[in-house]
Amino acid sequence: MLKFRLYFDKDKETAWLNEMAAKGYAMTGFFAGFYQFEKCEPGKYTYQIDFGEKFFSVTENYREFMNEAGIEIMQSWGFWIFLRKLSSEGEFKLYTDVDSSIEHYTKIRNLFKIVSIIEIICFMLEVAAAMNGAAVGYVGMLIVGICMLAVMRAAIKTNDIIIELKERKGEIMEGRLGAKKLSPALMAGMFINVAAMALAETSAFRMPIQIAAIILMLVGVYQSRNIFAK
Amino acid sequence: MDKGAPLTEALFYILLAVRRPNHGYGITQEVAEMTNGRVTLGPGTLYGAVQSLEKKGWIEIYSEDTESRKKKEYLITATGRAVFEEERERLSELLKNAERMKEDS
Repeated sequence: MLKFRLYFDKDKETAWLNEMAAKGYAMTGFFAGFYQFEKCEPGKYTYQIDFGEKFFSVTENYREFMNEAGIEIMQSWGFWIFLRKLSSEGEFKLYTDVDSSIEHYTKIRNLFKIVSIIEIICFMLEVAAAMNGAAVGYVGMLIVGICMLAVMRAAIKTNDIIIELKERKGEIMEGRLGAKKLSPALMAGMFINVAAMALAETSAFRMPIQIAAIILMLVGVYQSRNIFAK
Repeated sequence: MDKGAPLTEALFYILLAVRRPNHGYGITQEVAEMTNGRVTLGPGTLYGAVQSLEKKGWIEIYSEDTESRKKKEYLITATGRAVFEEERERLSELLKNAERMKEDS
């Protein structure tokens, strides 16, 4: 059986895979949003999703480690690794202390950050194409725009998880990192906007750069929101 | 992490568990036994920690018999033992000073 879903939150994705397993459907494969399921005894398996070092593969070391612990590697997709274990063998949790959790989410957030930058560049190219008369550019803008916002949101949410973990560890007191400070993204956005205005009105680059600057500023405003807190 | 910084419980117990050659899941079980189930090492945590300890040179791969398809085992290195000893001294000082709490005010 196949199901299609686009997840940007691996914890929600894991919860869904386990819900399916509880209903009697065990995930056996994944390809670009398509999940393959096989019938199984309800609750037979527990699933987890790990973030690895290699792209679309796992190291021999990792495979050995996991197999030794009775963990099956179902699929690797990008850096994501789908794992499962028999529920009868007990609780299945990948990261059991705060430090390793922070490392795990930091790797995920950094991936989302890099992909965000790539998406912003692609978005700018689509805007430039649309401005230059290619109508398909508007379609591109819409599609890339949605992906871009989704990935940026994922990066921000993952960062929130990291902040919460660090607070729990005692590294940050009472509130966000550095509490009430202006986000560098906000300042970078403002700077880029001013620089864009120096370009000629008719330049094809001006509009996309300004749009990118506005996006950066919005991210910056969100990040600096604690300035307005009591 | 510096030599001087405190070890996390996970690292402390992993180093202890590889004072004799030990393999992945064996480490998890020994640590759970030593701590009466209080410290559990998830496979993600353990894998990351072992990679990190190996990179730092605090543990190394122990290969006794390359013929047999034995599981890869790890063993603490001299550097690892030195780091562990520093930590033991730090904990000893903490424990000693903790006795002061019993002093009358």
